[in-house]
Amino acid sequence: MSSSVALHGVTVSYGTRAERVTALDDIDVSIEAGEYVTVIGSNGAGKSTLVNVIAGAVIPSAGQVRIGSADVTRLPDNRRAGRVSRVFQDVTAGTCADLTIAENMALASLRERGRSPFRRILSRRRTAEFHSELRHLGCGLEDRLKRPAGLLSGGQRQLVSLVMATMGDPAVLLLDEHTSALDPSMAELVMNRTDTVVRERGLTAVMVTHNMRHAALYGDRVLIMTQGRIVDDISGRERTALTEDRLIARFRDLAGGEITDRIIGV
Amino acid sequence: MNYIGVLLDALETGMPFAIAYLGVWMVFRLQDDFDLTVGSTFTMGACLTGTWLLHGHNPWAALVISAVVAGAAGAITFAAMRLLGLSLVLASIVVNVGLFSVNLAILGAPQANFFSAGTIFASWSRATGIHDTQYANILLGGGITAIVVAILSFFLLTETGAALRASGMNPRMVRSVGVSPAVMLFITIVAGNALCGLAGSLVAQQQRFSDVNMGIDTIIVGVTAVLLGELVLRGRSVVLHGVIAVVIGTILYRCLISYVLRLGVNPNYFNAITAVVVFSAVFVRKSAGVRWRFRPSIASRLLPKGAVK
Ligand SMILES: Nc1ncnc2c1ncn2[C@@H]1O[C@H](COP(=O)(O)OP(=O)(O)OP(=O)(O)O)[C@@H](O)[C@H]1O
Ligand SMILES: [Mg+2]
Repeated sequence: MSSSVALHGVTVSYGTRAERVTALDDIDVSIEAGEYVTVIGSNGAGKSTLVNVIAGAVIPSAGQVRIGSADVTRLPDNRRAGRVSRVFQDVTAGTCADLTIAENMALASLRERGRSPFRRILSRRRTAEFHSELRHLGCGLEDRLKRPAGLLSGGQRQLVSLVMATMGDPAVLLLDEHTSALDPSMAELVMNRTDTVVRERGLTAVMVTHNMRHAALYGDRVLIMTQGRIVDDISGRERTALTEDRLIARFRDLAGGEITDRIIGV
Repeated sequence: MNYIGVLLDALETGMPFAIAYLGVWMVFRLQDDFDLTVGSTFTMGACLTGTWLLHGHNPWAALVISAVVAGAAGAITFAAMRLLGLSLVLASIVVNVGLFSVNLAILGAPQANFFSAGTIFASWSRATGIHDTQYANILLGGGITAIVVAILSFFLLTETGAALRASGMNPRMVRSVGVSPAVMLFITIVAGNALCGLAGSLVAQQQRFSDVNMGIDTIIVGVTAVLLGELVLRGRSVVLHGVIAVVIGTILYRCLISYVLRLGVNPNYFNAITAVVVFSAVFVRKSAGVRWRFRPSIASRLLPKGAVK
């Protein structure tokens, strides 16, 4: 079941008191159940931190995080995994290289609650399930179920990670620049697949990207971040009318502002 | 030279050790780390068994007690590591030293023999009517090792077993599927030490002799057995190229030892021989193009907070 996500007054800072970096500065945002949000922003704007806060990999120093009606602010990532699933930017992070594709997929199904922890991985029924999940990708990966994930290309690993992240019924799907390490055609393939899955399943999704075309093409809503704040939130009719060029112009205005701020600030 | 004799000796004395080396393998290969507690927990199994048998208690119960107490000792290492933020190697060295005194207290003397006490090997050969001690010992030792291999292999092929294998390689991914890598490390350390305690008990019962120093080379010979086994059985399957390879490696190592013994080499040189075997195994692996697998350090697994790409 897709859930809403809400952040209230979320602040994350890193470093010591003398050298403090505020990665998220009093963020308020609510994302409806089934909403597909893209996030853009310059390097260091706090996009990954935002994703990490929703996933529980970073616990905010102030504020509240809610998924659906539950307050998950203090829950660490491994205890949020039943609700949140994610695909990492690093292609080696989402799958385990030494394990076979089937074993990796079996791991992903640990996210589902109430299962026996001692289910065998390689039963015929499970293998058939994994086989059909992978066949939807149309990349022939279903024939390599018993091969180690480390032998796949980066793009193929990202596809497997995507399948793993959407197994079960995640309340929220987080995608942090998950195609940025891929070659353009593989990136398109993974993006298309992502869009299809999110749409078909009506998932709540938060996708970070540096690609303006992707940001303009996919999703129901665009958030623009600079310096730990959400400075623009484009949704509804405005979002429908949004083109890549307009988005770039808007982003440049905001990022330009950021640069002047910095010059004045320092 | 009687090569069959060498092999039989190796099987007889090696089988119990294979169980200990499986414990070493679990931490070494599944978590990419070294738990030096195994030296003491192996000895602990032997010392507990000595005292237990000298009091005339049931020898089968000695196996269970040794495994449980040794597993608990592993938990101390884990706790020290977590609470003090130490590396596993450092925490286990300290616990290892401390346990030496505990073992001495358990046995009540630096060494003890119990030639007349009842052992599982004695009751086994009585129950089966096999009079050839060596065959009886091989059958029982091999049988118990086979049971351990079967249980361990079954576990490693379950979803939780896969999570345990992945937790040493990719802690970030393991967390993202809802498993705590720290819990997996705990399970590995406790199970590894329990296996060492079990093996210590078996060895003591077979030799009818316990010594507070008998486990001292567990870690290094364990690593040797793993490396030798992996040289013979190369691949990625966790059961065949992992668990079974360790058993094969142990037998190979014991063959070498019993061969050297039969050559009449002074047992005092065994440690030097072991060191040479370790380096040779590493050298052969390197020349054969088998690379060491480097994995994220333990710190990255236990300190999850921070930037996650
Ligand atoms: N673990 C950390 N320790 C210290 N500072 C950090 C840490 N992680 C992030 N930061 C800082 O927080 C700020 C936001 O980082 P974040 O990774 O969220 O940016 P981002 O928008 O994802 O950037 P990019 O586009 O480069 O991925 C940056 O200034 C960064 O230096
Ligand atoms: Mg980032």
